Amino acid sequence: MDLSAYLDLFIAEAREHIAVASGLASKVDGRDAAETDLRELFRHVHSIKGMAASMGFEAMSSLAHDAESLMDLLRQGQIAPKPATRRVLSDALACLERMVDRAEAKQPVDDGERAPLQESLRGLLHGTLDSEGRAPAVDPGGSARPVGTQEPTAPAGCVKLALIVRRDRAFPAVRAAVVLGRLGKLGSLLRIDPPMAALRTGRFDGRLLVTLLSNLPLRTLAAKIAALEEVDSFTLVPTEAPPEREAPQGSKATLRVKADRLDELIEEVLDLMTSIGRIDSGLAADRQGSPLAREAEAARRLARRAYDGLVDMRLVPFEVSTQRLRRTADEVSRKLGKPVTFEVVGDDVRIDRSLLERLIDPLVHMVRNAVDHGIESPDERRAANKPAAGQLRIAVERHASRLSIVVEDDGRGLDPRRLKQVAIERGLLTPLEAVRLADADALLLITHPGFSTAAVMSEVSGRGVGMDVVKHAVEATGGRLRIDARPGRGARFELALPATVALVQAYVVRASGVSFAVPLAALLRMAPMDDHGTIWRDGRRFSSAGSEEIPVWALCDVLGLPHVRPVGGMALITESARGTTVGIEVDEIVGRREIVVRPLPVPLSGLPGYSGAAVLDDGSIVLVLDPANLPLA
Amino acid sequence: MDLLYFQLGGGAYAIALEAIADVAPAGPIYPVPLSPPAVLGLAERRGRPIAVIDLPSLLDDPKATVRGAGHLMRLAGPLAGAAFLVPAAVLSGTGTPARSGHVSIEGRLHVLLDAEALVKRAAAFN
Repeated sequence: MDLSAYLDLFIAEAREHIAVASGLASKVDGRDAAETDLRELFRHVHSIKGMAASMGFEAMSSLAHDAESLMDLLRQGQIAPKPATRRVLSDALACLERMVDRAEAKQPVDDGERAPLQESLRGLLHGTLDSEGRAPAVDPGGSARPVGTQEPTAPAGCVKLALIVRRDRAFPAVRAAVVLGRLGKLGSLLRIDPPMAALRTGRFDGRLLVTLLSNLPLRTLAAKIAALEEVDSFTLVPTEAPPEREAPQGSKATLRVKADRLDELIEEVLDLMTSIGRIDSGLAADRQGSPLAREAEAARRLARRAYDGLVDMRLVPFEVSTQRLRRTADEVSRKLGKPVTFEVVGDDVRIDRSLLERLIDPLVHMVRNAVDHGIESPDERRAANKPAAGQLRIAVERHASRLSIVVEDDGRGLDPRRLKQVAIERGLLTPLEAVRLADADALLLITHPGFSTAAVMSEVSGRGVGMDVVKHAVEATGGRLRIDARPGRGARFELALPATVALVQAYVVRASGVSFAVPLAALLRMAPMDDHGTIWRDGRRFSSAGSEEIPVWALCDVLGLPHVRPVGGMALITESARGTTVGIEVDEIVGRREIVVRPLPVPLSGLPGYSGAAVLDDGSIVLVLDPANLPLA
Repeated sequence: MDLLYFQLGGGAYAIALEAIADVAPAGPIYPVPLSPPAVLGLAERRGRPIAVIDLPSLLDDPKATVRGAGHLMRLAGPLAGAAFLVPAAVLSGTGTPARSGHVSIEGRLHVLLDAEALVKRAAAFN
């Protein structure tokens, strides 16, 4: 196309735009630059660029493009005008004017004077100019000469890298992403401009500004960048590390989230999983394996992953409670004049925050009890050849789906015979029952509500203060309290807990036509109550599977339900509240399910024998048994 | 005040609208062995179990009974998770306080039910 006919028009308009722009550029001076002036200046430079490109004056268009890019960021407020901004802009506009003159004279438009001006414009754009408005010298081969002196082998530290991606390659945004990937191997990318999100949309003008933290020496770093095939040119300048709020790109950024909101999200995801289960269950059997069924299964897996991720966010180290426990031990120790060495092992073990919140008060109580009633006075300890300072230790361990918190001291321990005596005095046991009670079971007497109600507290009964509340709190989470103690040799209280509270694996069982769920964590094993596996003695049934005889109760009898199946069910072997092994017989095992255990709602909350209820995939409701707290006669 | 009201047995009863989350037809109710007698069992609502309270049994009216399946009037706030079994015909309207424990709706006296007190009674075993 013959553009010569339009040259006069172009010359006239270009000069007019340059004249107005030059007047506006003279006002770009630090903080006084008016927003309207910046916008208008941008518009004029933009017009110059477009017209020059239309006329085929590439050099003129290129210079105007750099000025336009700078003006674009200035008018958006993304960068602030520097002292050198006015001078560089004015110089660039003057250069454009000379180029227009040469075009009018039909001489070569580009005489080379634009190159340093374009470097200065880019330097302003990327913030790499010095106070004089000069960009650092750039080797034509692309490697930068460092500013200032630096030891050759010293790490580069934090550097500001301004680079131009080669324009002769396709998909520059993709090329930029490749460059960033390679830069990421040379150090940590602290800041990227434009951000990755912009690159993904393809919006990219060929220029990258990166703040990089590297352990490589500066020259080595420069050489490696120069060797990147996608890089046309670059400048590399040491800089200060960005302030802390400029978080590194990628996965190291953190966010504060309200704990209540996280709990709500977890509940919503659990509801989602229940709903998906209902959808899946609603698909007719002949449509299992259909695309819809596969999508339902995929949705279930995604919801489960979301749940696991959210619960993981809710995990906190046990350490968050250590300070309070230590303070309790110190306060009681000082008050009673009993020196105590307090130690916590495993405080880095992560625990579900909601579980820890339920246990912190019981743990404080146990620490107080240990110092008050467990650990002897200094005189008593000396007489017993023990170190003057009592030892109190909390150990936290996690094994797969189980959590163990042990509170252990080296104090006076517990004497089962004395405990039985107190229980008889309190009317909790008859003498005959006391004789029959095993020593291990006797230790649990201190958790009986009536054990520690005497007006005058003895060291024996004092150890039981509040332990009924502790036991209840532990069992409410689905856990067990185990006690081990010997007279004069200290006591060990173990909280054996499930690691998660809500989403559990359970067996769905039936008794008397009613469905129940039994968490796997509560089961030791199962044993068939057939002729082979059943022993009768004194009118009681025992499971004879294995090496021991285990007393068995029929769930129907325990819950007052009619028998529909006289004999031959399955015994669920579990641990009672006393720590003994018992069997609960059901009519059949329906199958294994993953269930969402919801607490029993008011007015059923606190009903013994149940840890909650769950809605199954078919919309039916099962009661979740708490075998240890079933009212066994 | 805004109220939901219904007839039960020989009496008329009302409850504050703000105490109620929703009213929906009663579906299957699953008994809970060893539960208090005024609790009929658990029902499913939006994927969660709610406790169904036999409201007629808590009223001092031997004729009070819900015919048919009835509706579940789920409570709001701290009592969420509990629902009263009520007749299917539940109306909404405004009433004015009348003599103690009553409201007047369209000229007729209704017993004003205290949801919290009723739930507390339902939890008792006697």
